[in-house]
Amino acid sequence: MKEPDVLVVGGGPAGMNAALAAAESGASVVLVDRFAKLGGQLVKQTHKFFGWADRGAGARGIELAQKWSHAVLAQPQVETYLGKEMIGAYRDGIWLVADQEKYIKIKPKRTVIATGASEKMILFENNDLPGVYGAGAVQTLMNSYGILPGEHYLIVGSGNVGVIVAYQLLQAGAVVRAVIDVLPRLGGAYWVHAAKIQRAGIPILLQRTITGVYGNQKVERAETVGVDDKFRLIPGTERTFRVDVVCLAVGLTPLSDLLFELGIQEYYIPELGGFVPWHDQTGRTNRKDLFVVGDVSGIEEATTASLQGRIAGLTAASDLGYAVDEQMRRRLIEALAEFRCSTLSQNVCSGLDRLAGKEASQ
Amino acid sequence: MKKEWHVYLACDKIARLLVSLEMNLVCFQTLERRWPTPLRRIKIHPILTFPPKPKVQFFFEGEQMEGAEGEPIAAALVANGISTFRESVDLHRPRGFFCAIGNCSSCLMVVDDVPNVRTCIVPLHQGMRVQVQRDKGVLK
Amino acid sequence: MIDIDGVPTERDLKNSAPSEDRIRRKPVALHECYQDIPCDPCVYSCPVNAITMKTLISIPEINHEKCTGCSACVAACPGIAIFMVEKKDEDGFVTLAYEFVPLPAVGELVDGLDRRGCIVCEASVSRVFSLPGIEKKTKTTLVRLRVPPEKVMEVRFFRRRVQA
Ligand SMILES: Cc1cc2nc3c(=O)[nH]c(=O)nc-3n(C[C@H](O)[C@H](O)[C@H](O)COP(=O)(O)OP(=O)(O)OC[C@H]3O[C@@H](n4cnc5c(N)ncnc54)[C@H](O)[C@@H]3O)c2cc1C
Ligand code: SF4
Ligand code: SF4
Ligand code: FES
Repeated sequence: MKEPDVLVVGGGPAGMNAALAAAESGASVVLVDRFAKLGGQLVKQTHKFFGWADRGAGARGIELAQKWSHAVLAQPQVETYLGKEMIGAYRDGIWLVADQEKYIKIKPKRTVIATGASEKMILFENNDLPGVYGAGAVQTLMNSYGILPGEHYLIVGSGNVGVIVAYQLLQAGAVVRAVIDVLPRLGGAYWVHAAKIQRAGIPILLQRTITGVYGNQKVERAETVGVDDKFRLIPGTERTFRVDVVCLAVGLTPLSDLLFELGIQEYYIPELGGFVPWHDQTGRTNRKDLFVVGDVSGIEEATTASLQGRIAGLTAASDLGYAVDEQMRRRLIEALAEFRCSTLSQNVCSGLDRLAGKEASQ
Repeated sequence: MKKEWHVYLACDKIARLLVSLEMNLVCFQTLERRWPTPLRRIKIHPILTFPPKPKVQFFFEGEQMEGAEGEPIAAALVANGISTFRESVDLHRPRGFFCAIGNCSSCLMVVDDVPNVRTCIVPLHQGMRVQVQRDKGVLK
Repeated sequence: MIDIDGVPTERDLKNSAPSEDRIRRKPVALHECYQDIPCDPCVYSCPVNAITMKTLISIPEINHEKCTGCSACVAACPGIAIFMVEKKDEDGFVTLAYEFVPLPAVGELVDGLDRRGCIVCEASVSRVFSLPGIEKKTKTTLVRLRVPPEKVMEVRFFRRRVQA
């Protein structure tokens, strides 16, 4: 059995930064990720990221992933388990990692959960037909393995994910017929990202929803229809798209099964993507030895995930008596607040406020 | 300027009129014909490079196919144009790729006689025998 | 409409466009970034400090008089929201960041597209280049298009024609 100071589950921006911060303060760390490569969502993001110029903005997601994963792998205090899945935890604090045919037991003093998010699904006729993909799956296929699953694409959902995947498909040489959304305005995509695909000729069709996909054994066409302000279908506005792939980018929800098993207090906060674990500003949950950071603590983005990871890593190390630069920790907390004060993060902020209010009334 | 170009511009003028009437789809479709048809395996990419990996042979339902060593089995199948990986247990509806990260079970197949293999995360090797899974699979 | 589908309107553009006089003098950068995204690489990319921003989330302001037209910000902007425009005699020029392959050849005739991807004119490629320092970091190529002068505020992208 392994007994590290800190166990980090998930090797995305949040998990890698938590591991780095804890290790740099002197703690011993075990980092587990089920994918063969560190980086989480970042390994498939070929576009340039926003943020502070001095914190890596303007760099592409893949470059950020590389930078952090080099740092993690070079850090002697961090033991990295790749391609191994965390499958559960006992209430006495032992965690179980599946490694092909055997299990590894880990009993850490502090645990940081950074498992990210999973994609939401929506209802329409034949939504199980081959050719209906999660947007993340198309991204994985095209950017990690270099394979395009089809020729003509329809994207459902005009949040940042849908719009960015459309742009990436274009870069890979595919034809994107349209991005559709039921909302009367962009579903959360940054205007500049939306402008990027529209000037390349991909229309964003608003107030339109998908009603079904049809074809012989696989998607050959998708049927869509316009909706009114109350989301009622408008007869006569049907439009058929001849596509072989439909990409669903209708939102993400925290991947918090592990936390649910442990009986961590969770609340339903739609602004943060669904059920989210209660946590304070350092990421600590109602179990004192457990932290949540990154998308699993509420859907946000890579910069906030990495800041949250750093803060939780430092806090976990200081819990265990390691000397931690307090000033640095405060600066990180301030930076996180500054990043979130844009009107674009209003939703996230009001969600976090509601979450903070919750425990008080508990 | 060539005559063809004038016709093209005229088409596009009409399309732009439609755009101003919020019917931008038409405009897009006049343009879209100009994109080259994509290949299943991406050859050139502005940002990424895909270094060639060693080729391996494998069998899908007895038919010989080619893939790249170490890529997920499901990715190799997609590159060969296969879309149905399994059938749903009761209604036998076709199922294919969905999440690509081992979360959803849509891609379970029989690999070298072992059922319920998540082909989207299991690497491909020389000589693998991959079959469509039509039932729940049995424990041997 | 910008707050509906992200495409800026005349009114938005007026806020960030350089004066006609300035465009005639020398190449000048303009941004089409009107949302308070937490982002600031453009500010730090400019060698003459022509771009300013109150805080990380503010909308950038370009001082067109200070701008020397070096195009560093065009390559640095992660939102591909900065362009360079220029009018010289009978020609107009638009410089933009292009993240697609294959790259066009100098002299090639292409379709000039507007903000909705519709063809507005024929354009020719006058330069394909990258800025060494920034290119290494971001793999961004810049393309300078020659367009009719009245189209410099319209053309924001281009599409290569299929070779026969
Ligand atoms: C298309 C798209 C575009 C985006 N664009 C931007 C952008 O421009 N700017 C920006 O800032 N953000 C962007 N984001 C968001 C950003 O990528 C995420 O917010 C960020 O990656 C979240 O980090 P994370 O560490 O919480 O989770 P993730 O990056 O999702 O990492 C989670 C990791 O946990 C692992 N894991 C999960 N469960 C287990 C388990 N049981 N056992 C072991 N390992 C497990 C997973 O394999 C994964 O590696 C984008 C996201 C998408 C999908
Ligand atoms: S073109 Fe050069 S000088 Fe002008 S604003 Fe951009 S970076 Fe500054
Ligand atoms: S770098 Fe680009 S996207 Fe970012 S603030 Fe400047 S103009 Fe806007
Ligand atoms: S595609 Fe979802 S588990 Fe394989």
